[in-house]
Amino acid sequence: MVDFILTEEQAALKELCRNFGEQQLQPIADELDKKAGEDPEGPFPWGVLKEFSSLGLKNLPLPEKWGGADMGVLTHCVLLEEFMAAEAGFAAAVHQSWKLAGLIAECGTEEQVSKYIPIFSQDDTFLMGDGTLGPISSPEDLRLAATREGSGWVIDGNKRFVACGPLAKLFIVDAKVTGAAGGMGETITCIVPKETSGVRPGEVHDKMGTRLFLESELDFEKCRIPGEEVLSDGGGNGSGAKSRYFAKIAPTLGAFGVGIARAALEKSIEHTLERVQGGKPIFEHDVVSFRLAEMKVDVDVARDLVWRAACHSDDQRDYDPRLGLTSVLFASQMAPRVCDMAIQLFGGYGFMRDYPVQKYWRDALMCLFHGETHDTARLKLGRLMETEHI
Amino acid sequence: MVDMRLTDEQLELQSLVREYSREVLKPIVAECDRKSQSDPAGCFPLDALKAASKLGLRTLGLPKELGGRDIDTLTHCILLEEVMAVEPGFAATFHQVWRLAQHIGREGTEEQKKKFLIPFAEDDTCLISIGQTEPESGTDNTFPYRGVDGGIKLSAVKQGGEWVLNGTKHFVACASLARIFIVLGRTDPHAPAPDGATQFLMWGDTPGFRIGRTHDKLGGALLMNAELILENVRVPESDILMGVNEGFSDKARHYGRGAPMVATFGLGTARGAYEVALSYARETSRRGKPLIQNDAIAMRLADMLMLIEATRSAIWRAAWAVDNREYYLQRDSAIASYFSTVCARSVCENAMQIFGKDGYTRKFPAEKFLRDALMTNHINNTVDVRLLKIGRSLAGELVSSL
Repeated sequence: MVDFILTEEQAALKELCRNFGEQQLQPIADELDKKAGEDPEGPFPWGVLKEFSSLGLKNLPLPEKWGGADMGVLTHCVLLEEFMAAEAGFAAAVHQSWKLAGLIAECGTEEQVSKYIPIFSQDDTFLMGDGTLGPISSPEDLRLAATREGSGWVIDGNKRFVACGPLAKLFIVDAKVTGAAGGMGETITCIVPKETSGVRPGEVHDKMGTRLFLESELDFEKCRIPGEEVLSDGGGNGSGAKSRYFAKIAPTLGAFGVGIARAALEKSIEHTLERVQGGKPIFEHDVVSFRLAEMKVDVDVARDLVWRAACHSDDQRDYDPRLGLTSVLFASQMAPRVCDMAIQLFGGYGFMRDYPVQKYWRDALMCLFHGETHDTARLKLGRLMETEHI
Repeated sequence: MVDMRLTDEQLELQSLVREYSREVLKPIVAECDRKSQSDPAGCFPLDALKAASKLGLRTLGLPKELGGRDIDTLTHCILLEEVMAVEPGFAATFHQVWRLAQHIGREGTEEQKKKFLIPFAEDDTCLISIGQTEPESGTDNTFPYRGVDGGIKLSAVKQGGEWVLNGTKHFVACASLARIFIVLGRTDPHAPAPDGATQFLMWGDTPGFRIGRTHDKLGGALLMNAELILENVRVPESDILMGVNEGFSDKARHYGRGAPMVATFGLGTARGAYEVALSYARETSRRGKPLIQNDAIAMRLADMLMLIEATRSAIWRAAWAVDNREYYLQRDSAIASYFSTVCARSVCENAMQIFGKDGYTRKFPAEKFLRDALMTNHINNTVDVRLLKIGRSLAGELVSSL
């Protein structure tokens, strides 16, 4: 039966995350963002991460026996929205760990789970780094090569835009199988601890937004990966367990846009109620009302879609991968549009770094590059329509 | 707990309505539309209505004791979407008759139910219509204007135990076909219309009551909007629905049920256009491959599906909130109905593009969906009023509840 009420547990966690965001992240967001302008590697707030972990938030996606709460896709979306509304870079960093810890827990072998999950769950500053294709990319684009050697693999090449590259203690990376061992487009997904010999973090990307979410290159030179560090059935062709997992959690990418846009809307309402022009708060001018209304519509509709898609991901009975993709597409287009309107509502102030809306806009543009470009994601959804039932 | 699964009853009704729409309505859509161009008053397919009655579809809004299902708002939206995706004008007929039978069933006296709903249930072609809009008062009623000079003017004056009604309504949905009418009259000309209007129940053959011209519209032809002309129509006090001067009360507005339902007009129309465009793109080859294998076409279809799923999500939440009163916010409904209009226009235009120049011809179904989609611009409220309502509502808002 259709229902839109969060469970008491979900509502309590949401409240906790909102308060955490307001108290721990918002006050330092601006300063750290500016600091990143001088030193892209510098700004990550490790103290805040420790606090985050000590509240039990880091381990939420893990099964209960590993200290987690078996958080589903919907809960992930609901909580991520709160962090996104506070500081999108930090939110994106912890999202990576939620996502990848969930991946190991769900798709890893028993040995992989018992080897890596306890280390992750017991270390308050353990972040995971993502060098996978994600839900909307194609294996043809991989540049990292894996060559068979005995029972293991030798990895060579370079990855760019590795999420949490300079911060992570463990990486999950996709590589293309070369030589006779691999069929067309076959890929492997391997677990690579940071200290593995032959792995070296490269240049940290100097990004326009989400600057606390450090991303970097990762160089591999004759990096040997034992066979047991390869995720079973990790294939990147859409049929493997990993691909199914990523498709399932796609709605969490929609929560990025919802949170950032909501923050821009909140600040816009505050501002337009205070700012007086033409003898009254600009909020009372119809043209401003129209703009605020369009922003509100965008944010709410995106959230409704994200929730609906997430719900179908959690309850696999009516699952349709297209719904998750539509939620990412809609929320990702919506967020920059809403932030753009927020800047206009702030007038000239919107353009000033002293005011927050320009940062939301910079952060929101990240949504257009979830793994691949936004257009590629649209195309991928379009391709799914060639055959599937209406 | 957040859940998106429909109940067994909803699924059963959904597939019944889907089958009816595809088998009974789809074959006659183009013909009715062509006929409406020359004969707006005579294009309605009564046989399709009779077939619906046989399946129990016409009476879904009736109370259970009168043979209906008393469907809730969400179910109404889910079923309406199925008909809208095939014939938006005809679908709107269901919308009227479902909600109005329910309205009388819930708010009417026993005597009124006996007088109006029992004959309604027994007559396979009986429809119900409500007359609110007048040539001089549209948005004044829906974005309530509190001046006594605004709002509906159709006068209702008490004489003994009867009320005498005089005036004209227009744009009245289903009016050319309906037998039962609810007419809003101004019972207190000295109060603002929201506090001075009353709903009167009457049969279409009441002396002094007649139908004027049927409007010749751009789309949604089968909705059969027409004028009502009332000249000294006498209505007994006992046929007042709810109380005197309660014509615009919360009760009278079905406690907000209408807005998510009307939002479904846009959703269903968009889905219909999407479905025909998708089939066309799969089945038509140009330059040696199906159209859908062109990136530009595939991306257009992706955008269309995205808007449709987004709209459906917003409508479901708004409808659910109407059915679960403690979560109801008028704004959520306004959001759903505003966005569904955006969706309908965009999706139908995209559908037309996929058909190429053929899409502009009457030989293909895309242009009709686009014309039908424009109906959503002003049903219940104009698009701008919906936006204004949303915008204004944000002031009193605790930011933390966003």
